[in-house]
Amino acid sequence: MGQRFTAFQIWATLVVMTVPIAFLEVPKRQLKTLGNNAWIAVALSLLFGFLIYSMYLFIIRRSQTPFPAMLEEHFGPMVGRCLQVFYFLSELLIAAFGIRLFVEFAETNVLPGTPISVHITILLLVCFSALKAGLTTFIKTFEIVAVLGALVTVLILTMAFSQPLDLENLLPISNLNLKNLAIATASTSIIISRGFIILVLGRLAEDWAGLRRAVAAALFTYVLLITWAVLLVTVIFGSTFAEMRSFPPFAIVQVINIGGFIQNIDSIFIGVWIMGMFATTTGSWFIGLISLQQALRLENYRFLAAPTALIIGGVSIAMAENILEVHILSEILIPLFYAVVLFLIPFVMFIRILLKPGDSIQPTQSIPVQNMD
Amino acid sequence: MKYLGLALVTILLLSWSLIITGCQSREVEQTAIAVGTAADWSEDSFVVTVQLAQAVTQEQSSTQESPESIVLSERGQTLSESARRLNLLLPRLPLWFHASTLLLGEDLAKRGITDIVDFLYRSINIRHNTLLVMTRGATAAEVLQVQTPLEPHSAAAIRRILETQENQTGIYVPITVDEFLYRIATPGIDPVLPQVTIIIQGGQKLLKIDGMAVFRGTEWAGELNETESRGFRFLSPKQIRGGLIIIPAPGDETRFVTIELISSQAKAKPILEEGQLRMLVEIKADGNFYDQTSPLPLVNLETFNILEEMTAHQMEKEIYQAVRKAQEYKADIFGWGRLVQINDPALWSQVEKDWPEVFSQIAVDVKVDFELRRTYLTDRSFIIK
Amino acid sequence: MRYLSNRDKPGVSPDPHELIKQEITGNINTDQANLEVILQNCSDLVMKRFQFSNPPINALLLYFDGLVDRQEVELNLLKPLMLEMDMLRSQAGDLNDDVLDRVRYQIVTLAELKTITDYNGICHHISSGDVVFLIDGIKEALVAGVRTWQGRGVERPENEVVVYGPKESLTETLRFNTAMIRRRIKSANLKMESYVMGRVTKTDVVLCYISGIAPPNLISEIRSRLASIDTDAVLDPQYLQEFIADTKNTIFHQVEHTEKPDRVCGHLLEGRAAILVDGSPTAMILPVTFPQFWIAAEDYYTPFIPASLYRIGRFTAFLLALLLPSLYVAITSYHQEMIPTALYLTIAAARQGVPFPIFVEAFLMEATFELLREAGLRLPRAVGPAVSIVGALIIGDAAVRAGLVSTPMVVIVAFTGIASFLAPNYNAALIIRIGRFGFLAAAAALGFLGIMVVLILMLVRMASLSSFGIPYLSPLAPLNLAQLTDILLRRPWYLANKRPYMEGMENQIRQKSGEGTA
Repeated sequence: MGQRFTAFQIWATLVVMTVPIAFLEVPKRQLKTLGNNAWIAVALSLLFGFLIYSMYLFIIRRSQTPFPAMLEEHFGPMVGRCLQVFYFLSELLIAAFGIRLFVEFAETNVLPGTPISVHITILLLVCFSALKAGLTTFIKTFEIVAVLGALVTVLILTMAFSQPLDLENLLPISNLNLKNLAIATASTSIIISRGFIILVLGRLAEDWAGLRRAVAAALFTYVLLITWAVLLVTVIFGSTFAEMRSFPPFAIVQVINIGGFIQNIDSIFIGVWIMGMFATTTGSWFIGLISLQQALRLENYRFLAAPTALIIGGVSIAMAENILEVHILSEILIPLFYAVVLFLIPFVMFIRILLKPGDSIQPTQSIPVQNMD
Repeated sequence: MKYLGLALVTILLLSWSLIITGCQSREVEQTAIAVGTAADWSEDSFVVTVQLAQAVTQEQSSTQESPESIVLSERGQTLSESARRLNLLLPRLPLWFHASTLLLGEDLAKRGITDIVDFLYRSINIRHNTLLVMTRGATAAEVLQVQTPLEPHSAAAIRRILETQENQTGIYVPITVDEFLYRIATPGIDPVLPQVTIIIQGGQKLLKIDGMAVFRGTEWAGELNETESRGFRFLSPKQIRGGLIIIPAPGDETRFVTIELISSQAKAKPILEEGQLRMLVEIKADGNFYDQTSPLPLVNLETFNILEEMTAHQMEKEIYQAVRKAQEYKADIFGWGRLVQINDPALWSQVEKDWPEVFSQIAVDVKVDFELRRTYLTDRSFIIK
Repeated sequence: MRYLSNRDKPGVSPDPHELIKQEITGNINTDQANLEVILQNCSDLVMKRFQFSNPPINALLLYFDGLVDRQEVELNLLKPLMLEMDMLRSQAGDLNDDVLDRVRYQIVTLAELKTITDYNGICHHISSGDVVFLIDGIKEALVAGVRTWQGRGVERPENEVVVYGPKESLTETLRFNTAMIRRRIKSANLKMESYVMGRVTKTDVVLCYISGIAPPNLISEIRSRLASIDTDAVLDPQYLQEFIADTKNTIFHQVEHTEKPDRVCGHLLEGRAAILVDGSPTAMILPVTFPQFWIAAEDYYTPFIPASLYRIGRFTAFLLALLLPSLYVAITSYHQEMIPTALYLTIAAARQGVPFPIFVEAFLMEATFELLREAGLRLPRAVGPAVSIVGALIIGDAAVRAGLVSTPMVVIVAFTGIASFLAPNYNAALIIRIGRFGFLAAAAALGFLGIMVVLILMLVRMASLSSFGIPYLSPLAPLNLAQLTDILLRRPWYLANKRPYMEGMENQIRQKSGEGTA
């Protein structure tokens, strides 16, 4: 594969994989567990995010193959291929959950009348078109999505400064409960492991230094944006008040009013968010498809997109009956699931690499890496 | 084949847009714009009143004096039901987003506002930056029906009045739905609402902002008059701008000096003295010399000090009045409970349960540091020959 | 003296299509007969039999009337032949063996001379405006370049109007065009590779590039794609574009058309190639990326600060022209909360009595606007402006008065129209005009969500395109910040030290450092 990805493209991909969904999930979860200290957990996730990404980078460096094939390299052909199938299913589930979360978000806030299936179909259609166009194409699209999304988010977060800010809402720090802090930090950090896609793209990066810079920048972007959002929500509304919201950061958007002319910009926000969700879903879906492609040694993954679209659509409708269940999923089940799929398995891989004698890396030509583009 | 998808989407969207238009969307001519809403309680049910703006074309506006607003009411078991039942009278879909003021009827508010807070928080039709106003001596529906001067819609008029009076006279603080709900949801702070009343001037009904309603939790507790309202505003932890302070002229108690407030900010701090909770309030304020009714020369360095002291004293007096009233109502409208929670969480957990009682006993020290800055067009008092 | 060869020879009719492939026989009578068969029914053919020298040698002169400078033929070809051949012969004696060389190198005073050996070549050359000269006994024909024809002179550009800067535009004559480019780039590195395209038209096509700047892989790619074209006719670069584009079925043009030679030169100097086609006043530039469509030639002739502002304005206008009607539809039918109350009341008042839903209203108005615009283009010049004015005033005003459309919609459509005229490139404007309807439909179906969906689809589509290997959205995606600033703003020349990068480019340095010597 001749195509190489620039550091900026890697940054953009990591940002769109982590930030949009974190924006919907993290503040609510954190405010619930930590109250006014929520932002501390988010800021602390910088440390854990660093560890997670370091682990990913280590795995990339010590592997001969990119992600789906990597499983065979480190776990042996049998287990590896089973895991690939497992990843196929998991990533579809992750994609389905992302879609569902966004749809709930859109439904509760702007377009309550539209049937949920319409939203899901539209999102799937957009992602489908991106998958069909191929990896290099949608990574290019991610660049624009990341820049646009980051710009709008920063703009909105800046506009929120026109609101009366009450810094005392952040106090008292002393009521910090260490156990809750640990839980909250873990659940924020685990979202960072959505940057898992780096295992796929890492070997395709233009240079190693650029890759490291991109990963660090993506981590900072994530922590900065989410901390900023959580801080603002707390400062403007107070933690107890904001925590009642289904999607706390959205409350900021709703109260923004500049000069009586720029007001009620909820729908613009949703519009921008659909871009982020498009990227997130496409990314997860793509990992799923190439996992299956590798497991079954298929020539191309594109034809898998249509049948899996039905699976994702079906799962995302069926996974929860109502928004309360979605929140339970988002608060408990999905973080655990992320932890297993995106963190634990790579961690085992990491350990296996560590235990391997460093100089005995043999060229593993035996694993055919399927063309991912 | 690759483009088949794209073509399909286009065709799908095109046909879809033609079919679905009017299904999900709200065509402009099928909607009516609510500029104001009001909620009342009467005969054991909620009454929702809406003030609709009438779109007037250019030709019409030149012939008509001012567009009339339409006021409709309907009742129901819940606020949402009453609002939806309006469509039994109204051939159009009301759009609530533009309602900039929400009036709470006196009957409803005095009955307690527990019933409506959930609606206020949950409904996507209530924008959280809507101003919330309580009526006094009239139902909310009656207030909406008053024809206000220059502004065809009374709901919009109330908003304008509230916004303008704040930096002109500096008496009342506008409260948004968001602020109101925040005060209800957060422990250690109680809600207030400005009140609007109907007065008759020259045979014409007018609206006037008069007093602030004080709530203890969700229960109506009483009201603050103008002076107390001003005192309440001085205690705001946010920086406030604008407003007038009237003090007796030095050397002539029967005449007055007007001081204009430029900005003022209060910092309150709870301290524990011998097991006794005290609130220490420090206010830093700036102002201008605005006018004097006394003929004496008051604008000079010596009297400036006196004027500053007198202004500070006047502010303190008004603040004490407000505090005394709030303590009488046992309603912590200043958010001191929250300050205790922030500064001493352990103490707060002890007093939280009977905070209203504790609050009513709390001792308060107010220190105002007032500085006169400028004197407008002349730097001395007018010299009468 | 001249006679026209329009006599049919039904008796001895060998197939002209077979005959044309043969070589020149050297027997002037046979050749004449064959050529008469091949070129039968060509009433503009001049075939002149004459003799020169002493003893007389038979010769045949062929050309198409109107394509050659007849005076030059007489003065520089016939006159020397008939007069000076004798003199030469009297000096050098018998010349029978090398009569052709003598004629070619010593007699004929024309500069552009060459020889050909088959009928096909003869036909090709006389069609191109050359004179072909056959001598009895010699199996080669002499071709003399004396082309001249009545072409349009160099005029002002009609579609790419500029305030400052060169005001020449390309013409239909290839040679004028190459000359206009050559005059601007006086370098031996300016290459003009010539191709003949079209089995019937035999059109001259020139591939222009600057060797040493243009990436060699790009040029060889273009060459091979050009070589793969097999078509009857090439009348305009567009004929070629549809053959050589990377992706064919798309509304996004992957080449740029321009009629300004200075713009062509600007592109050449940035390492791109231009294709000129004889008979078309349009040059085709490739490869080109989407953001480049928004750069006007004039930007480079204007001080860089205003030029940068123009560019920002142009990009804004692009977005508005694409999205404004759909945003209006989305906001008024889905997101009414975003409009300030007073504005919403105005719109509501204006829409009182309008019988269509907003989407239909917008669609009708946009369609009408496109109709008027197209009519304005196609109508005879004298009538065009009148129709535009009639269309705009009468239809717009009457429609509002009749209550068919609302005034805000007229404002929106008019504004969109104006904004779309800001596109410096006609093809770019086409993208806007087509895309706008897609967005309109999506907005009507789903509001902002729909607009975003179409936007994403459009982005994905554009990201998947490339123009001769250059990603269509570069330098936006993949991002190249240095080049992007040169697209969004106009970098002053003293800072533009590097050319925009293309894959395979060897010499990216434009100047060492822009500090200047002063």
